[in-house]
Amino acid sequence: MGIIKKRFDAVVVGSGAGGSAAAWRLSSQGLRVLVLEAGPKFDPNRDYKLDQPDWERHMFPDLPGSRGLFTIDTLDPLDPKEQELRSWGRASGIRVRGPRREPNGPAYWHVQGIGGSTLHFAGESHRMHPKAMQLQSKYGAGHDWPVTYADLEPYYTTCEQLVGVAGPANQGARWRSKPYPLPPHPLSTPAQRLVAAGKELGMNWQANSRAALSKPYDGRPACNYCANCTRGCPLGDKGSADVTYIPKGLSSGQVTLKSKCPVVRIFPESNGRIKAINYLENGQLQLVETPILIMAAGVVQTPRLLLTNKHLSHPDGLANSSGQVGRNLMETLFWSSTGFLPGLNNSHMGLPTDAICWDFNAPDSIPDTVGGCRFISAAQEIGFTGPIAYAARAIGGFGHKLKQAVRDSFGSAISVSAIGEFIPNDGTFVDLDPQETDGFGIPLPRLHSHLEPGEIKRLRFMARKSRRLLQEAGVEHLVEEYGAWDFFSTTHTFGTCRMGEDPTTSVIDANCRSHDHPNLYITDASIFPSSGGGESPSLTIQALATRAADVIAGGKPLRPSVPS
Amino acid sequence: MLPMHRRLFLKTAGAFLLWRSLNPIPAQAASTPTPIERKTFAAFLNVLIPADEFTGSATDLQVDKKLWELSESDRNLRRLIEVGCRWLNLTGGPPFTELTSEQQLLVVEWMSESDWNQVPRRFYDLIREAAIQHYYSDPASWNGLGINRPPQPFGYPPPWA
Repeated sequence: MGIIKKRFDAVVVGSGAGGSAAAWRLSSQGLRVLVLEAGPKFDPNRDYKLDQPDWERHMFPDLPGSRGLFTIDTLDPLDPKEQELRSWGRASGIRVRGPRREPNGPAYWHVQGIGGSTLHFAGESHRMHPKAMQLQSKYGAGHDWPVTYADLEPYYTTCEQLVGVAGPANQGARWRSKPYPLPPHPLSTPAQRLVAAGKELGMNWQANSRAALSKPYDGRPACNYCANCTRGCPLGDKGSADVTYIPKGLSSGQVTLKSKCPVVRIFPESNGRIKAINYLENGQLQLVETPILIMAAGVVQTPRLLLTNKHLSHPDGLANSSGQVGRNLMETLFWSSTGFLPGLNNSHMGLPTDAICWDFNAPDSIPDTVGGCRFISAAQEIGFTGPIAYAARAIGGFGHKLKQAVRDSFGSAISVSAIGEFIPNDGTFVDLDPQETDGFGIPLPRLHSHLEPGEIKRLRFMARKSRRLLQEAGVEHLVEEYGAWDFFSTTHTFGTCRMGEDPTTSVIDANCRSHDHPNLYITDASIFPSSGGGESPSLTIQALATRAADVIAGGKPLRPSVPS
Repeated sequence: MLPMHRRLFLKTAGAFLLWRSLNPIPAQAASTPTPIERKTFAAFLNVLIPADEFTGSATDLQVDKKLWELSESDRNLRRLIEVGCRWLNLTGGPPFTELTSEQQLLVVEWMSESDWNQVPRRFYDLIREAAIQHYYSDPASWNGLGINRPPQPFGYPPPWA
């Protein structure tokens, strides 16, 4: 076993939104930081295929080691009464033919690699709705955050400036102390139609706030609107961590970054402090001591590492005296409806998720259930950007009719997607698989998922509202619908190491520090007490991580902002 | 009307062949396609994607060749093509390649609406998907769509209306 002799002030596990933001912030205050990333480094020129003729066959690349291993427990049976929530496509027919929910694709969508899941995110840059952070005290459901919107506001601003977020001047309840650094992006043709249809229905649509550059910024080029952010951005205009926090941290000279270095063991001292960790580098076990350990390996791998590191003093795993590590998993409650709109052209061009409606985002805005949702224009994000998607998913049949229908419809897809609040429940969590292990004999994480009636209600609301919008826009026949009722497919995933004030019911405190280990911090989406009403998590992860870094480096965070 | 031989084959062997076609098969050298298989598969692909005034057929764009290449390293695909082609030729009359265009259309139409759990439908669905993936990956198929290049490196600068 090798022993790393160089001393670091902190070791960060994971280089996604939370790990990279924490490392940058610590390095900017003079701390020496080692970042250990389990996955590989992606090369956009080599790995992203958007300039190839067969680009549409390639989703975000799956390199060796770029996905963490996990298993999924048996999913919920499907209630035949909820047929209106089935996923289907005009080409495929009903998507789930069995009696239970099924995983779709990798099911838990994430990336292990330098930049983490920001590499494949669309790049929505959202602040939490202030009310969504007080779910228990105001609405009697879920959990409260131990920090407020005002506490996070200065960090939201800091991160938006660093990434180069483009957004509108006003987002209602999400008050701001400083404008977005860049103006909003122009709306694509389907987004324009949804804005108009929403107006007829009394819905307020606006430009979405996006971590994609509407103008050149900080040495990076402006977006050229190829419409395929989730396949990997070769330009570098998308604000993924590999082109923002990581180069900033490295340029300080204070950050050492290692890829393909999974952490396997964490060693606590008898007083609870973390003393050292083991990680693998080129197959060799390395030991590094650290005064500060920051876990940012994601919602599944962070709890897995904590749960597998059992010690005499911590028989249930690290940071787990509350028994809450792995609990409170919150998955993506999603819906999308798509149709073809005669007369609509070029809907395969523009920025994905460019328009959004926040009207139903507050926790009390959907009738008879706690928890909100948001709607977006989604034709590009869900993949209607090339002819394969049209022919394989949305147009049935074969022969001359198929070919002509592809020509007639190409560029006319219009989609509405919605993501809603997921209230934690006892049936949705991460634990260790009792049988499956990785190549080192370490148990794999196992995901459990269950939808409560409240989730079904929100899904029904999301589906009906999406269909109504498309109808108002002029769509006569839908061609595809896809949702969480019959598919387990989570892109925005939260919980499992919840933050809170009470050490008996939460894993970390308001500053992201473990209640059990004074030098252990967690800065990924596992710490979210609630999911929000569809907000994308990356900006909030970054804000929490930079705030935690300030506490580590200077003892206290920035002063909360005051609404003007 | 579906030929009775196909119905009989479907009834007696379909479930077994489906199971074989969808479950992992131990690695071994893929069998070389026979000339009859190649002709049958090409004809089937060209019913799925025929030539027209804008663009060529599936075989014009070498979709058959690409799928055969794939099948060399994918035993399940090789087995699926083998089973599907055998079914297509179980007419008791002329093989699929010698049916008239109208008869070929009728056969494929029937396949597209048949039982999802049986060989003809699975063969139709899976090969249709694979053929579409490879056909529309070739820029020669884009004529008439309003696109002539991949999304990058130039993107789609506005205006878009």
